[in-house]
Amino acid sequence: MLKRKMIKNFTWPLKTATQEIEVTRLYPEVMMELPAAERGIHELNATICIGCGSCARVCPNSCIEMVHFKFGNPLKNKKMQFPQIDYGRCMFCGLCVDECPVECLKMGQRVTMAGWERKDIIKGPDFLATKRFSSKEVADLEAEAKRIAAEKKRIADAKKAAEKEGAAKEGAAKKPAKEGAAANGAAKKKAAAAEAKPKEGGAA
Amino acid sequence: MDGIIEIITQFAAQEPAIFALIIGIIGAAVLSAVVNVGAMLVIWADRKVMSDFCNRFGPNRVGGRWGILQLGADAIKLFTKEDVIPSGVDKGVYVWAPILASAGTMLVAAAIPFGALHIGGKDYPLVVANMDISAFYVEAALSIMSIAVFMAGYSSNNKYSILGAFRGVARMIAYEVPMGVCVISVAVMAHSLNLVEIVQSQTVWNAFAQPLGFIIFIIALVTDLGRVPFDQSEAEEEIICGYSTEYSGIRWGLLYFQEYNNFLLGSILMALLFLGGWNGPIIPIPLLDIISPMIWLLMKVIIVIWFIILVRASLFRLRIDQVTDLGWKWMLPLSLVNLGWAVIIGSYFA
Amino acid sequence: MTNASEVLSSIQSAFPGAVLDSRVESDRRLWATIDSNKILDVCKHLSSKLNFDHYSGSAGVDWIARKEMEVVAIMASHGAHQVVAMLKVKTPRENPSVKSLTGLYWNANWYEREIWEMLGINFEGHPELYPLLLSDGLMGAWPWRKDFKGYPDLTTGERAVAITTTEGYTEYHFPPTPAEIEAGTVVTQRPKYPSFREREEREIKSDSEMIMHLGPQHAMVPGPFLLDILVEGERVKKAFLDIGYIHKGIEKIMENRTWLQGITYTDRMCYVASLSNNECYCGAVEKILGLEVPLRAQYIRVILEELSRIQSHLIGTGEFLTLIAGVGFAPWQYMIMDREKIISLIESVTGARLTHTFVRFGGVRNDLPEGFAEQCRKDLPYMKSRIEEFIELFAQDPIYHARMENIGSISAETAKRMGCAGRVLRAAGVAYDMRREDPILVYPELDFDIVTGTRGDSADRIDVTLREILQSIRIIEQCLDKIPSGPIKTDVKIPKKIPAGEAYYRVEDPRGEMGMYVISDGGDKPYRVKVRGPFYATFQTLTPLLEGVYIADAVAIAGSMDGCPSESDR
Repeated sequence: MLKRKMIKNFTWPLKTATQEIEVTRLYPEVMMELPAAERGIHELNATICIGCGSCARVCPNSCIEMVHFKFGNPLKNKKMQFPQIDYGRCMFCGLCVDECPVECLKMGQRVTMAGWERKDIIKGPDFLATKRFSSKEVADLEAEAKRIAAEKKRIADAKKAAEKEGAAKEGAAKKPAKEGAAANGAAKKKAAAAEAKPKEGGAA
Repeated sequence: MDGIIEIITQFAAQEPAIFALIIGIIGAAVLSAVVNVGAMLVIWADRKVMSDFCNRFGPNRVGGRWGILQLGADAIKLFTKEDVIPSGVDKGVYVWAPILASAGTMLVAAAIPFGALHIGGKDYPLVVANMDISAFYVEAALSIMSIAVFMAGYSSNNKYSILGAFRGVARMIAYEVPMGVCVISVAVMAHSLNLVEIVQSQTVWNAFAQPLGFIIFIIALVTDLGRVPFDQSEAEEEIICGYSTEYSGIRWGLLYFQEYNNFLLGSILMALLFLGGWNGPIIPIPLLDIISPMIWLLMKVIIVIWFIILVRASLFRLRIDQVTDLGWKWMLPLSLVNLGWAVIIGSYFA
Repeated sequence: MTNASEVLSSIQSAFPGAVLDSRVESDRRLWATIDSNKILDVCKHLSSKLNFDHYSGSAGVDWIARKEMEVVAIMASHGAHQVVAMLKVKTPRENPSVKSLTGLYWNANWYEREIWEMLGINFEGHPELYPLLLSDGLMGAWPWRKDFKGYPDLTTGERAVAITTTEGYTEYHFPPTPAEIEAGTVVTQRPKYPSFREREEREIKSDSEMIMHLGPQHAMVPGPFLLDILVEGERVKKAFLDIGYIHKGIEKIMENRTWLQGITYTDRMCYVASLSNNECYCGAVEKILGLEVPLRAQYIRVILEELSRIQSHLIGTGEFLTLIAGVGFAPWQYMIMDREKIISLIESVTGARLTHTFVRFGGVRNDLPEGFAEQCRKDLPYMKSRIEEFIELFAQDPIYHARMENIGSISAETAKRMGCAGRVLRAAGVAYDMRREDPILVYPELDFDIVTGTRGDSADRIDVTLREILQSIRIIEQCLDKIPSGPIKTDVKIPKKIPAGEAYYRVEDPRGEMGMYVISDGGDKPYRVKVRGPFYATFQTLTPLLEGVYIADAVAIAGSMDGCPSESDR
């Protein structure tokens, strides 16, 4: 009973009044310090995104849509499909980030995204991309891709032709199947070598 | 300039009644302006001081870093809001409740001395109506607010409102008596019910002469103002907004404003009755010495206001039955004890 | 100490032939299918002979392929032993009906009502079968059934009767089918939830009484629920509780999401306890998979769950303070200030402030960042001193004691019988804590006390809450000392399709015992997720407590329970 004196009720607010304001902030001027792990607006590394759509599939709210974007890597992302995120639906769970096989999607410390209309907060790859190729680099890469495609086509054609030839030979001269198999093997080797090349090109 | 004064004096000589009326109206306008601006400052102080206790900023945008114009912005907002009168309310009573509340406050303001001017070694009290029974009158007029609260709650046709009104009246009845007895105790020692004379008679502050009365009076005052821990009539966690649940816009603004008007006037009354009013050493600087009684009163009023705000930040709300229990079972007997004490002390020193 | 196989043999010897199928998963889990005619006798036997005095909830499952439905009653004991018996009763899908356990266990009421309105299983002998979570118009749609396809759906589409209300909204009603009427299982005239006018007519006896709404929108409610109180003057004579205002159908949604996506929905059941909800769901799935969580991940989970418990307790107590003191009361803002520190700690690990989506099957999402332990060691002693200050503040305040002492008291016996959870139960003096009863993760290795009260009143509940924070701080400090280095995720590849199986997993939520019953049929989505929320259990006991108190006390009692309607409605 003696302990109940009500003194603390008054002294505590008085003590607090003399302290500096520590938690409340004057918001737009003073922003909160966000940790490195913060799950804010996504950051897309367009140079390595392969456009697989894993993020779109895993999203519980299906707020990710794969859309066309010019400044990505045409070597790895042939259809040039990159995620576009509807922040009106996104709940920042981060499953898309976990699911990404090439770790091109991250969540950063940006958090402001207000807009006047609903469509303003549907952010395309142009807004999300923190790393992207310039148009010249894209053109180079596209040329490279075309070259590789042409080469592949050439090899495939050659392979087809060889196969045809082999079949024709088989049909016409009734030669033993050995040769045909050998020709096939050679074509496969060639194809493998051609595939290895663009990889190097891409890395460069 | 001289011509105007001549015209006025001539008019005053010819039509004394009309002149008195005009002077009265001008006086009332000045008085209400002073009181209402004071109340606005009290609202601002309430928010700002509360934010200090809670380690927040409080108003900080409108009118610079200290948010001094926040209240102006709020008032403009309230004035321009749509005036909604819900269907089902008792319209006459509903409309008149806020007006009665403001009228009650002005009645208080008319009789309260706002300080004194020290001119030529003499104090001239600043009071509109210097009545002989002003202490009692002020204490009675302060509780007109309770009637307005009951009108508002009763007319609103709302369950929360009616509960708030009942609570407000039960509380008022329980605490008005001890408060009145405290005023009598002060009057006994001053041999007068006139507030000016009560102030002038306080060579020793009444707070020291009758500490029990001081404590009872401040509790009763907080109850009368309806602030935590005695804000049962508008306890928003229980009965939404109590009596003012159905009010909105300027009508709500008036009711809200009167609470703070009363807060200011009650604090002044407190300072006058128990803290020696404007008594204090005269500051020996020209011009400042004229208003030095005002400065002393202002400081005391600020301390009272600050303390009541501190109480809001630090105490739990009592339950309504505990409030009335406290009023009838403790405050009333103790105030009577205090009256006896005042009689003894008063007759001993007289 | 009783274990599961002993319980099973005891039932089998007492009622030969009553157990149709059984599985003893471990010492603590017994799965048994009971003959539907003997379920009452078995339960009576369990409660009288084997100390099963805790009816922890029940789940309804629609096995559409087997053409039957199942009601799973979850039985446990308040500390006498640690066996959880999952008693299944099967009933044909055509006219489902089982015996009600309300006669034996008071708190079976809500659980069975929910199963009735969601699955259409009739409970024989249930006193008040009227809608709990759903609106009257949705009755007959049976949303938990597997052939339910939406509202109004393809299967019940022809039954749905569209009605345009006077306000111009379209509402759907689902009258029972002729087959159902013929079978007699579905009542033709379903008892409806009484409207406000009906309730007024029925309950108000004199002119001095009135029914007052506290909610669904009210300064008192922590989320939307309706508390109608019948008052005479300032006295509450009777209280009526109506929940379901934010029924989100989370359990049904989770059936339509992949296993991984389900984690995000557990967050949203109660945002201040999202880590415990994550843990509960992931733990259940790990149990089905038989996964071993790496030690470091276990410690991280424990640390974060305890931090989350601290912040939940702080905001719960803070809200309660505003209810009995007004928003101007400064110490409640101090609680929010302190909570900010804890939230920042959690955020630095999980990256989110409230809905963390942090726990993963077999691990956690992120490792602890650099400097986390140091920050913890700096903040936790400060927290400790602050909490001690709060305890001191309440101890020396006479107004607080006048307001809170002996208000809303529950005795230990009543609390057990009514099946309260968490702080309400512990304040009554029952040391029932899942961290001891059903230890998960590394809790058995940690040293902590279970805080209990003596009187079971509102003041005790707050006291228990605050002292639990001290215990949580103790646990975190131990974890920081003991945490090993190592992987934070299991090496085992988590399959997209979880093998068929079922598991019941319990964690100690900030509000008490939280359990999740997860069934997998081998698909990529859960077959059924049943959440046994702690506040759902406590919520039922609110109305009896409110009889005879003042209005102000009613607010204080409801506040001291730290409610979360979002979790109870799901």
